[in-house]
Amino acid sequence: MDMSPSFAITLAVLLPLIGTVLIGMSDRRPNQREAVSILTSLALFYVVAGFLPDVMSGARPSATWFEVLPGLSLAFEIEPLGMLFALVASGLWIVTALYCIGYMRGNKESHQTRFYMCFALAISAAIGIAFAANMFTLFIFYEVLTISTYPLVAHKQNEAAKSGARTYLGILIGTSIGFQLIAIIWTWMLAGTLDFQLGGILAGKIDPTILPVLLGLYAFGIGKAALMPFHRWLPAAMVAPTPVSALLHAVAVVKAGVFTMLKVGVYIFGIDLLAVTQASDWLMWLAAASILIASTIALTKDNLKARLAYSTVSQLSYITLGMALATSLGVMGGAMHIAMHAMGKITLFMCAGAIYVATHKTEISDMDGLGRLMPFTFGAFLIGALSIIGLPPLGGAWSKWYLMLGAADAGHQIMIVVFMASSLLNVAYLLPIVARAFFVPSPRFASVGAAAVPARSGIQEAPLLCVLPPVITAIGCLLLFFYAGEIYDLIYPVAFPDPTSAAVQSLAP
Amino acid sequence: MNAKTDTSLPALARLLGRLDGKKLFWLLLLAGVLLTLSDFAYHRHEIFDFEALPLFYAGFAAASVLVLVLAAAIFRALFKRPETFYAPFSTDSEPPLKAQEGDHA
Amino acid sequence: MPDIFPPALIFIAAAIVLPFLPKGNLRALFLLAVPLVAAHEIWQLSEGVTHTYELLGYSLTLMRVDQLSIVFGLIFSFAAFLALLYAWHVKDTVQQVTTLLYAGSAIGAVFAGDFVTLFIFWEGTAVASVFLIWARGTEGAYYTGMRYLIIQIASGVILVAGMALHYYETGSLAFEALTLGSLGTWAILIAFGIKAAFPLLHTWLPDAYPAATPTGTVVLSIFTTKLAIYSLARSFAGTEILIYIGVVMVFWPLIYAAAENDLRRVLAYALNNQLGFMVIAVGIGTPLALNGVAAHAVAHILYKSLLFMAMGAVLYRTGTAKASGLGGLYRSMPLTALLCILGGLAMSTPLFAGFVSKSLILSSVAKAYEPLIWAALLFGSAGIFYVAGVRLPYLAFFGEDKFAGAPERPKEAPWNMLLAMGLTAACCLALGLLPGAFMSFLPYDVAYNAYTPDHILTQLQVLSFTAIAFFALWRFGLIKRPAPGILVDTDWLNRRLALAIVKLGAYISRNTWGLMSRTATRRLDAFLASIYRAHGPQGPLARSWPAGSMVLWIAVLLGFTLILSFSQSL
Repeated sequence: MDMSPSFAITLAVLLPLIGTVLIGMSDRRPNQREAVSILTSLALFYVVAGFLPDVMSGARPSATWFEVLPGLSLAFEIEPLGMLFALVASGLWIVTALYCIGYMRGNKESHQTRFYMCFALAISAAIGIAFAANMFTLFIFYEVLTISTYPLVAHKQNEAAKSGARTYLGILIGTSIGFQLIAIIWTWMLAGTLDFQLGGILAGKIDPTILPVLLGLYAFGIGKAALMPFHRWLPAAMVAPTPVSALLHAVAVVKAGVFTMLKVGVYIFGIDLLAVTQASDWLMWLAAASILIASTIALTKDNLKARLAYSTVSQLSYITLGMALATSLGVMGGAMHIAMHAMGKITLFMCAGAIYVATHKTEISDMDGLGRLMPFTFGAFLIGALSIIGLPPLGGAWSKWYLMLGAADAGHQIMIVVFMASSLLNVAYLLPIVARAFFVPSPRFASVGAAAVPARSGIQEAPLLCVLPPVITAIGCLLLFFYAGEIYDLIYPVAFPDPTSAAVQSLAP
Repeated sequence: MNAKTDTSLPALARLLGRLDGKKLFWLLLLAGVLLTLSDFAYHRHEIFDFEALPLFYAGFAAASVLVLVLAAAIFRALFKRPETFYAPFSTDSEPPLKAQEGDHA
Repeated sequence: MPDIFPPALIFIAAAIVLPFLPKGNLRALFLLAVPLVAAHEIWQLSEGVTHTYELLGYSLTLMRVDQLSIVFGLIFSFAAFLALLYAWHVKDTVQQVTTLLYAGSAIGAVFAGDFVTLFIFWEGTAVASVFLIWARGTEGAYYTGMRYLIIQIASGVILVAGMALHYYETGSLAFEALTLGSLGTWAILIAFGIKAAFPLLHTWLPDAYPAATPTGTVVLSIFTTKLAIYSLARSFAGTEILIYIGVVMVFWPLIYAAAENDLRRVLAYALNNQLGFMVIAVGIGTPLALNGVAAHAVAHILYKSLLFMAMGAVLYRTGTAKASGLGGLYRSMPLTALLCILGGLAMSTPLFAGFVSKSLILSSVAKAYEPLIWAALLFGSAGIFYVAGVRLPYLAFFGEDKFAGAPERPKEAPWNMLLAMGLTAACCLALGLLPGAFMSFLPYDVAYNAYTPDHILTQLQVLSFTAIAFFALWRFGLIKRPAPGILVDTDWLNRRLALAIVKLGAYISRNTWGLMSRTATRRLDAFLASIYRAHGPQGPLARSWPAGSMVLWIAVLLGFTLILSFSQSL
């Protein structure tokens, strides 16, 4: 397919919108509706993946829609970080679209058309964020994403759902208007531009003493990155159906947050500026605290989705921390972690959903002995969990490796200890779920001890479309370990902008 | 019943039954004495001076066991707790496993 | 030799294939064939570096073959064979698959030429092995397994942190000799030390091994700790501090082994004590001492497996391995009793492998002229024979007949267990009878003869007087059959003290956050509600909703713009 880059970008942003309209038109025909949803996701992935060779060879495809003010336009430019985020979002959308069918039908949910429409709309917004050429465009799509996911969070329309969705919307809109918009206007006034430029646009234009304040406005303004103390919306959104949780935690929403965080660090401030002024030191400490505290809270949660939600809060701060280290290796680790965490966490959420569809259980303490009935689901959960912990041969090991190298590079060895402690906390709150499911005798099986294996109770898995997607992403976690080199090559020009500098040369393997 | 003569037991068990008594102790003692006597007949190549002491190895071994037994008694007195001490977080307090009879022929 | 398939991958490939085979004899035969094929491959390896590969630009080495890695690779494969034969009757797919993965990871780690490859397999042993504990299927085994897993993974993350620091400093990822000094190398030493059960880092061992299944403990006893010894010998040979660490390891666990009631825990502590021998020899670091490490690892794997197998058979037939519930078992389990006694003798009696390897280590310490260390080792040899060679068989198989009144006596161990134990005993004997062949396999070319009259006579004296002392003290009532109960070790520090601190921390953080976020949410809600009242659809400031919100947004923006403009002009 030969398209001009500008047309292809427009197509990528608009494809899910077209899907939204078509889904709306197939309201009475569920099969057609879901076929549209899957075809759209495939087409989107095809278009997005089409940019990859060009971006990897150094091209930066761009498109401008229209100019709002002189020098401020709604425009797109594809650079490596955005490429990575768009690939993650569009690739995982395919799996999620499949999973939605199994979950929504298996649970006999209502208002499925509205659900699929909002879902497609959210993806459109995520692609807009990924490809945004300037902070203004990013902000517009950021808000579209928040608003389009609101009906998804409130999907069940009961009191709990409405209250959760209110918190969701309140914090995300509140922080984005209250902090981020101010930061953007401030940046505009300082730099006279909002365009993303490698190395930043602020160097020499701002008093270094005030730099941490601007960074703070961004860091807290990007509420989707769930930096403590603005993390409450994420557990609150747990009332949503599980595919939405997957969308929030892996595909689009939180990833949009940490992606924006990285974008701001690399393209607005520039890591050199942050490193020289040490403006991000406080953010590093806050992210480290966020990692440890959220993990500790996760330990205490018995509700599976709540535990996973706090796990996400913790893991997102890895990426924020990677940026705040203000070193090339930290940015590399953070960017990699976007993909690695997405693949691992979506696996965990889809497994949680599969357990719910098959057994209607939400509390971990009720899941004893379930593993023997749902071996594929819990097997996939185990692999996803091991990847989140950062064990080889799973993808999560590499992002942790680069984050640790980044911490050593920044001279903050203590952050290595934070990553180590966090890994152990991950073990402590993720693996009991699998271990209890497989090895603690269920109250259903009377016998005790090694004979607790049910004789022939058979496998009682959730519907195929609920089980297959997490198995696919679990295999994805494994593949990411061996193909992490591709991500490294993709991100390299962003993380190591000056290949001639001595520091870069000494570390580049 | 005396295991040495109980014909319901396997032959090997009756043989082992002979070990289960005083005779083994005297046999061991005899062997030990003969071995120590060899010290006087055969000159060792010592590396350390103290090795040359008569009965060094025999005495050291016996003393080691005595010290170990006393230390173990002290540790038991200090650190012994009921099996339920860590329950339910360890297997110590759980009922025995089911004894298996199968022969998997 | 590019046609050689890496032995670790043989195990891993077999683990993937295994679940698709029908349960039964075919699968059991397949399981037995895997380690034999791997051992055959390792046997044929010639020294050199092969199977290098690239990951993220790092050039890594899957197979670094030298005599040290060959010795460990061979004994790991062969011990895996014996353990799988012992577990012939186990039908549980999870245990079969994880045993293969565990053995494969350990062998992969042994042949790893760089730290990244080592780390991959290092964590592999941690994750695969825990299933052998969980497979017991009880609440207590679940918790024990979690503790075990956390500390094993802690070893892995400390290793990776050390690797990162070391790599950052030196730019090298080679799994070679390191000089202790930097933070990175210390972290690597601690990572190895956890798996080698250094003092204070050791409690996972006596905690976990008695909790696994009867067959699982045999498998566990083979790999993890000896992999750590191999890694220490590879990277820290001649590091002096290891000598003193090793001495503590000889003493402390020995006292617990002499006091414990659970006989599998006795063996776990005894294992820890024997690791001390090897750690001391690594600290000495001469070629003779390192030969002693390799030889002792081989002998130790064999006789410790044999002892764990015997206790496993007792547990399998009677349901318990606690001395307080055993006694007089020789009546119905005479073969197991005999093999257990042979296992005890194999530790240090002439004609057995343990005699050769222990003599090597003792001689290397004597040659380095360390009289105190040497005396500590002599105490250790007498003590270990007392604990595992005399006290343990006596408590399990002799003395008071605990099964006299039972309707049916425990049966003799099944044929596969007896066969596995018999083969293991035969191996101990073969290595002891052919010391020349044994020595020729060791990493360094150092002439050594264990069978001198000096060694034989002194060792026999030590052994006989150890046994005499035991029987005499038993007669005088100074040694008794232990009563039920557990001994707390330094694990009290983490299982009681640290747990309490963590719980307190979690409680405080949860409540603080809860309070803060509740307050914040309430404030925010109130704020939003008040704005909504003023600007919402029914509010006085708006006739229609879009206009109302537009007014609000513009007002907010103008306000901030004003503030910013002022701050600019100041």
